Amino acid sequence: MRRYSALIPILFLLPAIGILFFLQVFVWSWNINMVLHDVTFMNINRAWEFVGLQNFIDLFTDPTTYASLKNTAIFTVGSVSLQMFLGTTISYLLYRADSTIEKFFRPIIIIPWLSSVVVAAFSWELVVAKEIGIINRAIAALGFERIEFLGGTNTAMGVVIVASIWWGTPFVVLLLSSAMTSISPQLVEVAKVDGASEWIFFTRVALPILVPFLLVALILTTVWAFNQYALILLLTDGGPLNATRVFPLHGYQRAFNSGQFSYGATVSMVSMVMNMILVYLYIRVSGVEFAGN
Amino acid sequence: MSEKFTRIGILISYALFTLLPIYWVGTLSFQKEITFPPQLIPNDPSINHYVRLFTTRGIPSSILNSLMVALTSALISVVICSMAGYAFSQLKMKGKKIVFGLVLITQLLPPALNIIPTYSVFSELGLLNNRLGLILLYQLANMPLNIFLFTNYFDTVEDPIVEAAIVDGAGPVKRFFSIFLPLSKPAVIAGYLFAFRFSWMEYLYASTFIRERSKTLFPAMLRLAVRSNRYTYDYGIMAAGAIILLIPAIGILVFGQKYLQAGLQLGGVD
Repeated sequence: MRRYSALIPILFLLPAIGILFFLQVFVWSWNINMVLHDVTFMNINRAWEFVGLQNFIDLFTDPTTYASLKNTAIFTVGSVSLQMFLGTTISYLLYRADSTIEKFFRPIIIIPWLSSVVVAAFSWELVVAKEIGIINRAIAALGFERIEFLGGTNTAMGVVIVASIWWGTPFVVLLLSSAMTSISPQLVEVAKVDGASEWIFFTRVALPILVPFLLVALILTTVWAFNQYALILLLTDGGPLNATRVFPLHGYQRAFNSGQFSYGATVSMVSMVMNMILVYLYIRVSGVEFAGN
Repeated sequence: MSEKFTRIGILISYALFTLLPIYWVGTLSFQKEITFPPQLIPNDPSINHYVRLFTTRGIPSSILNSLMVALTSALISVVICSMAGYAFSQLKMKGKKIVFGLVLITQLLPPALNIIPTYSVFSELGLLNNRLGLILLYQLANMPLNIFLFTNYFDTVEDPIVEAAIVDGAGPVKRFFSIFLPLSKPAVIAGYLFAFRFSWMEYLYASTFIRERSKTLFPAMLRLAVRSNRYTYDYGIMAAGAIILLIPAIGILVFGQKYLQAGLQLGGVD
């Protein structure tokens, strides 16, 4: 059947594969190079001194590293669990709603997914601001003391998590909505005839069908939350008192604020390994095929 | 019946949570002066903050920069990804599945992870402070979703049409241009919208890689304008700027929703 040169598919793939090779394979090899040398703001474009594994020693003897890993754990667990819970609930309710109701709510719920990280950060900053925020306006109206949400260590982490849920949950809803369609309408009818309550139907019938999709969503959301530091950078810049400085932000700030590029590159390397573990889980769960023709 | 009300009640609560920040930003942006305590609905609506925003030095040119980068990188993304999708869907090649799997993995390595080594590589190549450098970077971020989108869309093109073209003697290149691209308007639109959306809203790379004012993109310039005074935020600029950033997103939602939804399904988000 093949009546064309083997070069043709390669030519069609070349631009995409070229970019992939340059910006992933080459850039990551370059990162290894940075990790093994001492690269700072001063010498970034000059010769680098070889330092072996010194950067790893620096990273793992630095107490701020452990503090940032702890913040990453809090942020990731908080953000992912709530995104999964809300995403599952909302996509299920949209699936079970009448089509007019569904058509009304779905676009509203998608809006945050379409908005920039800057919109997410700015709008939550305005919502929780001490003087002009709507939440503090309500708190003051109820007769309580205004709270400086982004100024307290616990409340700042709370705001960052809520903003990430606001921004990220629509994606979980989109992801799970197509999974919901694999629950056949006949099952719904049968359950209705049998008089099963909505809750029984959801837990006994819908949830087991959804488990594989939920696992995929869980891993994607975890990767997303783990690497989500632009939002935190904009909202708190890691503060107050480093309470929201997550691990990747730690690397970013060391590189771009303090000019310690090889330290930052080491953080990238460690993050990459953590991501690869998640990727491996993803492949196992989603059953992506790498072998065969 | 009460179950149904509970369900709608939950949806309404969640929708209110979604809309709360947008409502608040909108209402603040139209107040003449942001007073303390702030008004729930502006008593004296005014476009004062928008006027101030658009007359801030650097803002108009940054909007043009952003539009230029987003329109161009979306176009390039559609070209590159439709070509790759065509090869994955229609052409025979050894090791295709492995390459396809590698593309999928890229989706799981967010661009934010590569920023430090990429900065160093770009610095060596003179691609910092360069909008073309950003356009190149955005291709990587847009590739996985758009390649899936085109691969899956091309898979749905019916065999008889392709076979008829083969009988007519059309080679693989000609079939791509004369059959697959013209039949794929929904995929092209969805792919363009996905890529435009990403490039218009990206902040991290744009703010880190471009330091020259005349080349800065809108989200990064907005952040500078909000913090022009070191100790206070300009809340009016913040609110008006967020609304301007949001407008293309709302436009996509209103005009492109059906393409987005079909596109997401084809893009392997199921």
